[in-house]
Amino acid sequence: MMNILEHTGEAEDATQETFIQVFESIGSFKEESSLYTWICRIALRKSLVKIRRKKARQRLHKILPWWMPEEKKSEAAYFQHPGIAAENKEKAAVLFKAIELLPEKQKLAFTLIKVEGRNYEETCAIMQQSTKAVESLVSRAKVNLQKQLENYYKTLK
Amino acid sequence: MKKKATPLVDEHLQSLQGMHQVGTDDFFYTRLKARMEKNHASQGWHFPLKPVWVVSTMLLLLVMNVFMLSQQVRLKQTATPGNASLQSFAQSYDQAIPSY
Repeated sequence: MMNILEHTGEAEDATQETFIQVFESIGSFKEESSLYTWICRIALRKSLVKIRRKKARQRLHKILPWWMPEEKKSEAAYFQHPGIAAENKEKAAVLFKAIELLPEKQKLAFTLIKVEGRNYEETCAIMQQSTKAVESLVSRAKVNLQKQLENYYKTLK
Repeated sequence: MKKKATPLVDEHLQSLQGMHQVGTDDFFYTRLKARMEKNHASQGWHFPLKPVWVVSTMLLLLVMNVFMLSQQVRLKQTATPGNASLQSFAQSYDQAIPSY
């Protein structure tokens, strides 16, 4: 969740919501998938809701900049992942910023496979997509990220 | 499908090597428990009795009352000249309109 939401507070909030959802709807678990996959799916859904809300807030901020001044700060901020070694933090932050700009599905597929290191089978089950679809999403995400990183380094020069 | 070379992405992915999973802090369970208790307490309020619905309904009724009152006042104001013209019409034919 931390990797998808790229925000410590939001990740904790989404984790709490996931626990509550699991507690409330464990009775409706049909055992069509493993419990772990089912919980991951709930977590993913909660994360997506948060991402969509954040995007909506950012859109609103663009229309009415005086409405939520703190939104500009969060938009410009680079996510410092607490689980990454200090010498890699800078590069990782640039990568996370680029991932944030990817389309939703590409972002999820890339994060689950390349960042979290999950296998394709697991990712397909969580995302409820075919292997081909996930492979395609990861491939497109890589191309988009390459473009974004090139642009980033061009602007630095 | 031919894969495009993405050296910058691969280079940046290298920086994630050795990344360890981040757990929740010590007070996570306490906060979760408090939130669940709060949710449980707020579940006592059902749909029509939730404070937000009660206040909204009261406001709606107030607005409707004000509207109806203003309509009544306007009707009374417009009814007066009409009544006078009816009186004069009745007088011209030597008829009387009872005023009770």
